[in-house]
Amino acid sequence: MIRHFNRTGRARILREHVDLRLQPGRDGEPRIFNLSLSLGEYNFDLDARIRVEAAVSNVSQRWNFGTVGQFAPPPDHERRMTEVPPTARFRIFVVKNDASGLLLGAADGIAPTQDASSLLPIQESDEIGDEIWRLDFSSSAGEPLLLLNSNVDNISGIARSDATFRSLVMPDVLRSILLRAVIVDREDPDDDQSPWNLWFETARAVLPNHDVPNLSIDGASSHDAADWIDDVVRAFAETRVKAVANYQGEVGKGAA
Amino acid sequence: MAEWMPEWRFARMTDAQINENPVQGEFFTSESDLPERLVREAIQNSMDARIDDQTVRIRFAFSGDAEALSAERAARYLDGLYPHFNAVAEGHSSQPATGHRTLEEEEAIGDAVQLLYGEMPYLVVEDFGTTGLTGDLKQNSDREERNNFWGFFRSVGIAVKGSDAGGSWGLGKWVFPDASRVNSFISVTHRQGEDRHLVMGMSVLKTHMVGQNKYPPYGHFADASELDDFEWLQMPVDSTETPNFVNTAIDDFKLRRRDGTGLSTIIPWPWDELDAAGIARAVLTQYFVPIVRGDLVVEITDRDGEMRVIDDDSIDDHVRSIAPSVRDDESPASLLSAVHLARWSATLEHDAHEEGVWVPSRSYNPLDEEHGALNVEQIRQRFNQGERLAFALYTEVRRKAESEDAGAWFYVYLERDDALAQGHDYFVRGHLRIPKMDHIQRFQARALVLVEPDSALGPLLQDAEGPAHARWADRARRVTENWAAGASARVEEVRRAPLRLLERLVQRPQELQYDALADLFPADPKSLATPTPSVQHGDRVRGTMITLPRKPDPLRISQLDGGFRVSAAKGSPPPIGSVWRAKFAYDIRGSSQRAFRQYERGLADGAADFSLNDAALSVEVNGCRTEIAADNELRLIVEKPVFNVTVLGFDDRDIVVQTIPAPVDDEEGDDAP
Repeated sequence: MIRHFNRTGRARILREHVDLRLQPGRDGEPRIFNLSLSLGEYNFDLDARIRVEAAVSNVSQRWNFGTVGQFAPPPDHERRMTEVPPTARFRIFVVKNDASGLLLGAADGIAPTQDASSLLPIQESDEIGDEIWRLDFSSSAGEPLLLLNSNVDNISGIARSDATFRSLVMPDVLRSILLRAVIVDREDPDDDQSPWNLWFETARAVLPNHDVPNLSIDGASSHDAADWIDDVVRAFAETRVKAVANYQGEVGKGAA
Repeated sequence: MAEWMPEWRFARMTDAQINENPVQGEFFTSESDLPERLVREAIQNSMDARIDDQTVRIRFAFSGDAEALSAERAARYLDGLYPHFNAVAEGHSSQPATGHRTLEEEEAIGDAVQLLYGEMPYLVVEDFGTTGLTGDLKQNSDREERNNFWGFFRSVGIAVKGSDAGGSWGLGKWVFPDASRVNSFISVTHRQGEDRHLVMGMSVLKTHMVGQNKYPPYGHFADASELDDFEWLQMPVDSTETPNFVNTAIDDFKLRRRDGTGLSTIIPWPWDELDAAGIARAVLTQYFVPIVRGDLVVEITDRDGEMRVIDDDSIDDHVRSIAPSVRDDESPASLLSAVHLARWSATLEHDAHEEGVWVPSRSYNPLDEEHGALNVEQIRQRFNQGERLAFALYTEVRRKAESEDAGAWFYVYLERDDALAQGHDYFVRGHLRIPKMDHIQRFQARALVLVEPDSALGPLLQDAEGPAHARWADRARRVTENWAAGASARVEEVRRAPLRLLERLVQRPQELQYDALADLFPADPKSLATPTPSVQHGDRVRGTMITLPRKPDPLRISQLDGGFRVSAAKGSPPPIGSVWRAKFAYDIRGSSQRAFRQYERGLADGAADFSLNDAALSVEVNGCRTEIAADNELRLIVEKPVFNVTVLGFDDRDIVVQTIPAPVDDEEGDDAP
C-alpha cells in the first residue's frame, strides 16, 4: 500500500477541468497553445494568480494567465512556445496572491488534448542512429515516448497502420514499458498517483484476474514478474494486435 | 428462311488435354467486394475502348423481379446449357466435401441448376461512346494483337497484345461470370465502323463429364454450327444473318444497343449483394476523376426501376448521400473534398502548375532551398493559408527493349485540411483509381496524383500493379522484367511524390503524435476490455471478462499534522504476528520509487532529508513492536488486533509512505502471542 500526503492542502486540479490544445504557428513559427480552465468547484480565492509552465527535461517556459476571478490569457504572440518544443508537458499553478506564494492548486503533466489520445505518443527523430524505433523514458515524469527513425520514409504512417510493423514491434514496446515499470522502477502497482498507474491499468485490462507483481516488496520474485510481463504481452499480441493473423495476412499479400 | 438458333456449346476435350478448373474467379460463390470489382473492371474496359475524346456513358440496369424474363422467354438463351450444369452438379456432389468452400459451392451449384428453370432476373451493363469488341472474329492464335473480341471471349490470363490502357492481365472480364449466380453472361456488341450487332456468351463451369464425353470449363453461347467439336470455333450470332434473334434479344433485355457502338453485357441472375447503392458507391469512390472531367457518365437503374445519373453536375449530391465508410478517405466528407480537388485540377492547363521540376527522390527535392527549383517559402505560405497547390512533375522511363529514355509528366495536387484526422492520397492512372496506397496519413492534407492515360509512365505503373490494380509495387516482377534499371525507383518516386512535397511544406518532425497508437494504448485503458485469453499453457479459452475485486488492505495510513500514522484497517486487520515494512520519503514528481531513490541519494551524500536515528523524528507505538530497519524505514511486528505506529517531526513537504508485508522470522513467529 502506498499513500501520498499533500502537506500544504493544495487542491489537485483534475485533467477534466483543463482544456489545453496546440495550434500550428503560421509560416513555420513556433506553436501556440490555447488554454481554458474550469475552476469553479475548487473554491480558490478569486484573486489567486494562475501561472502556466511548459517544460521538457530541464527546459521550461512560463506564462501568467491572470487570476481565478479574471482569467486573462496572454495574446497569441506571447503564447508561442518559443523556448520549449511542442513535446513539452504543461503544469498549471494557482498561487495565493500574497507574499507567501502558497500553492493553492496544481495540475501536473498535462499533455495537449488530441482527438484520439494515446498513453504512448510517437515522435519522429533523427537521433536514434540506425535503430528503427526506441523507447525514450527521459521525460521529467518518466512517461514513455516511442521515437521513430525519421530517415525511414513515412515511418509515422507505418507505425499508425502497417500491420506487419505493428505485429512485430508493438508487443515488444509493451514488454519494454512493463519491464521499466515493474523491474527497473520497481513501482507499486496500487499507487494511483504513480505515472505508471495507467500502464498498470492497461496491463490489467489486457490480462484481467492476474495479480500485478510488486517488486518493491521484499521477497517478490523478479522471475515471477518477468513471467507476468510475458503473459500480458502474449495476451496483448493475441487480442489487441492480433499479431500472427495480421502478420501472416500482410506477408501473404506480399507473396501473392 | 428460318434462322439457326444459337446455343450453348462446350467443345469436347481430347484424351490428351489436361483437366483443370478455373482459379481466376469465384466459383459460384460471391465475394464481399463484388460491386466494387464489377464497377472497376467494367468501367475500365469501357474507358479503354473509348472513341477519341467522346464522353463514355455506362449504364447499369437491374431488371428486378418485375421485369425479369419469364421462364419461357429465358429458355431461348439457355438452350444447350442444362446438360452441362446438371453434369457439374452431379459430379460435384459425388466428390467428397473437403471444406467450407466445397460445401458452399455444392449448395450454390444446386441452386444454380434450379434457377435455370425459373424466371430470369438480370443486370445489364452497357457502354456508349466506345468501339465495341473490335478485332478479327476468326483469329485465335496464342496472343492476338489489338483484338478485343479475342481478348474478351477467347483468352484467360493473356492480355491483348498492344493494350497499354487500363487493364493488362486478361483477367478483369472474369468479374462478369462472377457476378452471375449461374457463372455465365451474354454480350451484344456493335463495333465501330460496322452496321451490325454480334451476340455471344460465355459460361465458366468446371471440367465435367456428360455421358462418356469430357468437357472443359469454358462454354460459349454462339452461332449454331454443324462442325465437329475439334474443328469448331465459337462465332458470334450476326444480326445480318440472324436478325430476328438479335432484335428479340435487344427487346427482351431492354438494351439501348440499337444506336451507337459499344458493348452490352447481360448478367443473368445477378448476386443479391450487387445492388444499385453498392454500384453507385463504387462508381463514386473509384471513378470520380473521369466523372468530374466530363469523360464519364454513369446511369444506374435499381431493381425497382429507379434511375440515377452520376455526372459532373450531380456527383456532389450523390457523394453526400453515400453511406459512411470504414475507410476515412471514402467517407462522404472526405470524398466530396477529393471531388472538389479533382474538379479544380481539371480546370488547370499544364502551364498553370508549378512547372518544370523533377520528381522528388531520396536525394533531391524541388522544395529544398539549395536547389532553387521553386520558391519554397512562397509555396509554403500559400499552402499554410489553405491555397491549393498544383505540381507538374517530370521523370524519365525506359523499357529494356528501347535505347532511349522517354520523358513523362504527372501531376500532384495538394491542399491542407485541418479538419482531417489523417491525410488522404488518391492515385489515378489513366482513369483508374489505385486505391490501396496511404503515404500521407501523418499530415492533415489531401493529395491527388494523376498519371494521364497517354503518359509514358502509364505502362510502367501498370506493370507495377497486380491483377487487382490495387497498388504500385516497385519490385513487381513485370517491372524488373520489362523495364531498364532504375524503374523500381521511378515507381517509388511517383508513389511518394506527395509525401516528399508535404514533408517540405509542413514542418512537423518534432511533433508528438498522441493519436497514432490510440487504438492499442488508449489514454483510457478501460476501453481495452476484451475477451479474456487464457494464459494456461496450450489452453486458450475465450470468455467474458470477470474482474476480481482487489483484496482489502489490512493496514491504514493516515495523515497527521507533522507526520503520519499506520494502523490496522477496520474489517480486515493483519494477523497477529505478521511483519510489515513502513518506508517513507519526501514526495517529488513522478514515480514513488523516484522519491525513495532521491532520499537514498541524499543519505549517501551525507545530507539525508531526515532520519529515524535523529531525535527530530518521534515514533510512538501501540499494540505492536517496531525496529528501525533503515533511516527511513520501520519494521513493524503486529502484536494486538488494534495497533498503531505514529511518526512525527517532518517539515511541511509532501510525504510518500509505503507499507509492505515482510517475511516472518522464526524468532518473531515464536514470540507471537
